[in-house]
Amino acid sequence: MLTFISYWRAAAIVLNDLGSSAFYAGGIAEQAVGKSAPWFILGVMLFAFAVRSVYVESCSMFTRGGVYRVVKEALGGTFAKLSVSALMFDYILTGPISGVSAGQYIAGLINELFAAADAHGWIPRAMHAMFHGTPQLDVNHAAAAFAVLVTVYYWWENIKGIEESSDKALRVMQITTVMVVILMGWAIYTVLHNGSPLPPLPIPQNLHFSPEALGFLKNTDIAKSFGLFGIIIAFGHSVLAMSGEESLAQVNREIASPKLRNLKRAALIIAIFSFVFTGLGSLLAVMIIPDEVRVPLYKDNLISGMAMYMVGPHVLKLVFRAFVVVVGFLILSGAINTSIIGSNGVLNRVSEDGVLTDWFRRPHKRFGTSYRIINLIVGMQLLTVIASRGNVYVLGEAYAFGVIWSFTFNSLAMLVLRFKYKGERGWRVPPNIKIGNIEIPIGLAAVHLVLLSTAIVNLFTKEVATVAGAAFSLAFFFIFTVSERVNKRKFAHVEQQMKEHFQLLHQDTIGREEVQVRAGNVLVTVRDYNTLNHLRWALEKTNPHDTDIVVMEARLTGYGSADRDLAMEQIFSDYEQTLFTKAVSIAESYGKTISLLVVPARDVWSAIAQTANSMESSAVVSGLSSKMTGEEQAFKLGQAWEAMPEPKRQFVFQVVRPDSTVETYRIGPHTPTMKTEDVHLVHRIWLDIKKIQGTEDIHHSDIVTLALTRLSRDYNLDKDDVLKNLKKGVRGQAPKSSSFVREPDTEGTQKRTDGPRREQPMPPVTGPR
Amino acid sequence: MSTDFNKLSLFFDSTRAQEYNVDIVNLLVHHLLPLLEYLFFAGLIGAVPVIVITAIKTAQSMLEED
Repeated sequence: MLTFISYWRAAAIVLNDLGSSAFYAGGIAEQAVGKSAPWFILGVMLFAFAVRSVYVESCSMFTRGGVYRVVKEALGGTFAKLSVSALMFDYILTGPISGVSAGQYIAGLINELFAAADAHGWIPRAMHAMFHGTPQLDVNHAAAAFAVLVTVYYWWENIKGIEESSDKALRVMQITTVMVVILMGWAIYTVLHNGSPLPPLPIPQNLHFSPEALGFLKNTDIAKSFGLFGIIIAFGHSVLAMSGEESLAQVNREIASPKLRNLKRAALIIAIFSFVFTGLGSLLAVMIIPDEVRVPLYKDNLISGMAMYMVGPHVLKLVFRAFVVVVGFLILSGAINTSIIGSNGVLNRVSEDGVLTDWFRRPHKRFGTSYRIINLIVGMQLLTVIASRGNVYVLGEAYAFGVIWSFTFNSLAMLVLRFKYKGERGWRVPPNIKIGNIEIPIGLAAVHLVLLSTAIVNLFTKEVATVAGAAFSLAFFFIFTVSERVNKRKFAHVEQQMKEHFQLLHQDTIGREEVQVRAGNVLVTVRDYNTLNHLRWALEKTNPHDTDIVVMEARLTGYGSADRDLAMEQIFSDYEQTLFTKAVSIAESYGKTISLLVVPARDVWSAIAQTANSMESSAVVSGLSSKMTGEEQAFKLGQAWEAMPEPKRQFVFQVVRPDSTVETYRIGPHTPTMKTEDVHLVHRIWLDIKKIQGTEDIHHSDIVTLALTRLSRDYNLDKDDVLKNLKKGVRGQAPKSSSFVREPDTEGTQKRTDGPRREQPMPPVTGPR
Repeated sequence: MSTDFNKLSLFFDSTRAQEYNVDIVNLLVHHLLPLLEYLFFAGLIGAVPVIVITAIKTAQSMLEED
């Protein structure tokens, strides 16, 4: 079953990545550019609104609107592979930097507790002697060890599946929000109480770059008189604060209907939270923590430092610090989770396009997840953690490479798409000016200029990032290119584009419980993946909160083979894979859940009727057959329904034509349709009867019952005579079967605006008599 | 403005190649990087309305009914 998540869950998943940077971005930026760093972090968080706007536009155009898809559409396969290579560098590093940062917070707290315990004489002498003083952990190594443990934990969570992961992300963000509210409130009170001054303004004379922060430029004159250029360098060192935007594009496909509106809501939540937590948090940290300890002691656990320098009793501060560490551990480890989900999404997307071989996407036998990709990602993350030996600054420096270049490629691609595809989008990065027929995307171009100039400057100033990022990206690019060629050769004769892998669950019987849908669901029959207009129609008209949609394909099987003997490959072949991939893709674009079902059958109509009956469907929706009219389709289905054993339920059969007009039929016994004059006749008889005393209890239905009883008696006495009279009355309008009837509102070609109908209450039906 | 790229030996083995590439980096540092200054600040000014309008429009989505 394809499931979707709310905008709160989507925001939580993204914030596990984006919000977590508050725990390390401030410290890394300050080490690079000096005490003015928080202003740049604030600036970056504001600018993140604009970057997010670009992502919302890309997601409004493509359900899976990540960098790869967008760049491929705009700039072609080579650029797409390059951009996704940079993005993978970003994702692979998100895990290690978050894990190591979490470890730094925990190791820092443990050391603080050791120191406090030692001051009270609570450390045993033997232990004191063993450590030659107060026991202290090697922070970097301990951090690396924590990172490894947490990465392995989330590896297992992702092997099990995303739904569980989004639950955890939401819970983590709820706890984090509590911490952020306390942190902000207490920090503002402390600042007001202490009268702490603001950090030095972000002007060139206040920038003090470390030698590492100038990278390849450190020996040039430009490093001595950088002027305004220094602003770009500082901005480039702070850009890692907005890492995680790509997660929004990856999560977009999971967001429930109405997709775009929910995406915007998620974007707003992310914007506010990250601006307050990362932006204002970094500013307040510099104002609260004294200069002499901020970088030396708290550079890698800035928020812990804030907790320790708040106004209040020491015990309370220590307790809050412990809370910060717990939250930091949760959100940073959540970022590891998001990085695995994001990388998995990106590589799956790339793999669907044939850039990675199909081998990578094989679903896990038990959990149905793409476990090979997850294994690959986590393996790389573990290697990075071990190689970094727990140094957050080195990881952070390298991290920014992937962040800025994936954004740059994405914004460039969106800019190109503005001219390449001029059609309507759900969202356009504002503002746009129209001169004649030409639209000039001022806002989009401005965002791209900032990103491009920052990315180029970073190439010069971030030595580690440039060397490591370029090497990693080129290696990934090489793997993608080789893998794509292998794939093309292997599947030269088959269209391998965009195929999902499905976890197949075999059931001997079909029922609502097995498919996990509610009674009154809508059964959409599919056969040809090029004609799925009726699925779109059903998705448009159905509210997933009230009605489930089951997409069913009746797979024809030959006589002589028992169904249970059919191998999975026979039932779910390559064709079904393509068909359901398209169905899933359509459902994703609406953000509505569907359940998929393949029914082996010897007769398609029997399979549909039996499935609708056992699933307790209220409606069956089909496309118009190329060989039959809608009425003929309904006749066949009606016949199949008649042949079914009891108990059987009525349902509505809707045939959606290619122009989206709909023919609706009722399958099964139905309320007979009466001509107006017949209704009047019954009424006249009733009025006449009413004139006689003692007939108060006689109703219209009693008259019809008597008439039918007499007709039945006459029919038994003289069939020919009754049939002669009946034929006289209905000549030229006889239905082919009494098991279906066509509804009047669909006789014309007008478009229906209502959804698939429920069985109860029955609407009045007229039609063939 | 004089240049002294000690780190270039990291990338280039031969002295001749090093001199040639010093010229390229020199050109980049003195001509490309200042140009980026203009692009960056022009972009930054242009990004202000993007930020404001995006904030307003996404906030409106919270008030819309499904």
